[in-house]
This record gives sequence, structure tokens and C-alpha cells, in this order.
Amino acid sequence: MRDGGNVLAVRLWTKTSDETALETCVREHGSMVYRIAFSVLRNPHDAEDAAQETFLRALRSGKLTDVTDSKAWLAKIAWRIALDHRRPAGVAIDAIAEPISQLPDAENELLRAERTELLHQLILSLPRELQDVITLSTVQELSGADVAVILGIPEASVRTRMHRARALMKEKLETRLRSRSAERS
Amino acid sequence: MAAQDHLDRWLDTALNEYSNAEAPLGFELRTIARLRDQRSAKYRSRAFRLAAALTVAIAVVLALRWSHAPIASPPLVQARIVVPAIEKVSFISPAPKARRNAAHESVRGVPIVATPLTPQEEAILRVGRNAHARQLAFAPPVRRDLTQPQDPLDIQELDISPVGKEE
Repeated sequence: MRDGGNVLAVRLWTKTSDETALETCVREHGSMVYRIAFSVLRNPHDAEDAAQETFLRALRSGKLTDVTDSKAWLAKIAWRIALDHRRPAGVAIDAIAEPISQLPDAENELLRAERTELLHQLILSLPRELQDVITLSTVQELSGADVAVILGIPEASVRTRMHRARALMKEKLETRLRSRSAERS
Repeated sequence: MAAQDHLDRWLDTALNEYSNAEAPLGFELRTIARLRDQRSAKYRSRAFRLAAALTVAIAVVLALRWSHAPIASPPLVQARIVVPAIEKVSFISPAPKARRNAAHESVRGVPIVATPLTPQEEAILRVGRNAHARQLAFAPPVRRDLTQPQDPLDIQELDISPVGKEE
């Protein structure tokens, strides 16, 4: 009976420490999780929902104390949830930026929004395997090794795919610029 | 070459900006609050399930105990043994008492067996018998002529005094 009580106490302590650890994780990796979700969903509200669901799923799994690399583990969960939440018809690009009137430098923000929209179209034109690599690599907190862990591929493959994706995007961008200059002339 | 560099720079800038979104204000607090809500809901659910399991267990134990109660209860068995014995004794006891009284009332120590006659009838019969016996005992012997044939129906009448006026 005394042993059973000790086991229960240990379990309760582990649970409590697990939840405290998860709250620490929210403070530490919250922005990374949010950015991963945002990189896929391109919408602040959907991204926040996905990020919260990531932490809830981590709490339900109860494996936080067993995980050695909590950052990669959370990034993996966030990536999967974001893919599940992604709308099949494509992403509404107008949801990327906040309303221009609220921003301090409206001209810069307009340029930024245009750039992002163009890049988004370029990424969507890539093959799926290249899309995933380039989307994840845009998240500042993730290194090539993290991307490799999340996608379950070797790090060398990440580098190769990144190189191919960049080359393809540059090619398409160049074609677009040429066609635009031809239209102007 | 300059155009290629320009494109590379554009791509680098665009890729840096692509996911460079700051989490909305209060995102962490909202997430932690949701986690705590989830945790308390989980504990409530666990407590409810535990209470339900305990209730079922107690109900099962009580049901099992009640189903075995009539066999295991000793007082009821004792009552069944004792009560008929008392009834039997109390029912039979008057009969020997009556016989003892009859023996005490018997005349000259002659035991009286159970008879359908009432005690008054018994007394009358006894008196009659005794008087007849006395008459036979003290009667003068009748001399009989054995040479003459005997008539079996020739019965000599005895002088018997009425009941209550005996000598």
C-alpha cells in the first residue's frame, strides 16, 4: 500500500513536471511553432489555432519528459498539424499582410507584400518535395538539420532540394521579369 | 551577372520575409491558459470516472453480500430448531398429569388403565365388582349332587345389595 502510494506520488510529480515543462516550451518555442504553422497556412488566425493545437497534442501525448530534442519534436507536430489544416484549394494570399493603413511605412509594406505574394506563387509552382523543404527553411529558427528531422530525410537531401528549388525559382523569376520588360517596351 | 546577383538578393530577401511573422500579442498567454483548461478538464474527467467506478464496485460488493445473507445467518437456524421443541413439550405435558391424578384417585392401589368411561362410571363398576367378589368369597358352599345331571342354565341368584348400601 505504501509502495502504491509512492508510485502514485511519483506519477503525479512527473505529470506536474511534464505540464510545467510544456509551459516552459510554450514560452521558449511558441514563436517557432507559430511560424511553422504560418509558413504553411499563411493566415494569422489559422496559424495560432494550429500552434495551440500543437501544444495540446503534446500535452495529451504525455511524452515530453522522454523527448530529448523538444524543439524538433514540437516542430514536427506543428508541421503535421499545419499540413492537416491547409486548405486544399490553395491559400488566400491577401491574408498574408496586415491592413496597410495600420503600418508605419506603408510603401515598404506594400513592396514586401508584393514580394511575398510573388514568392508564394513561385513556391506553389514547385514540385511538392521541393515546396516542403523551401517552406520549412524560411522559418528562421530551423536549421538544415531540423528540416531534415521534420521531413524524415537526410540533411544532404535537404541541401540538394534547397539548391534545386532556388534554381527553379530563379529561373521562373527571370522568365517573368523578361516577359514584364517585353510588355513595357 | 549583375542580373543574377539581383535575383539572388531578391530571393534571399523574399525568403527571409516569407515566414517572418510575429505571433499575435498574448499568443503565449492564450496558449498556456488553454493548456491549463485542458488539464483541469482532464482531472475532472478522471475524478468523475473514478467516482463512477467506486460506486459500481460498492454496488457489486453489497449485492454479493445480500445474495449470501440467508445462508450465512445463524439466528434464523437456531429459531427453527428451538421453537418446535418447546411446542411439543407444552402440548404433551397435560396427558401424564391426568394419569397421575387417576392413579392417586384409584381405590386400594389398583392401577387404572386408560378407559373410555368417566371416573364416576369407573367407581360404580368397581364397587359392583368388589361386592360380587365378597359375596362369592363368603357364600356357603353349595353342595351338588354329582350323580344327578347338571343343568348349565340353573344359575343360583345371589343377593346383591344396591350400590352405596354395601356392608
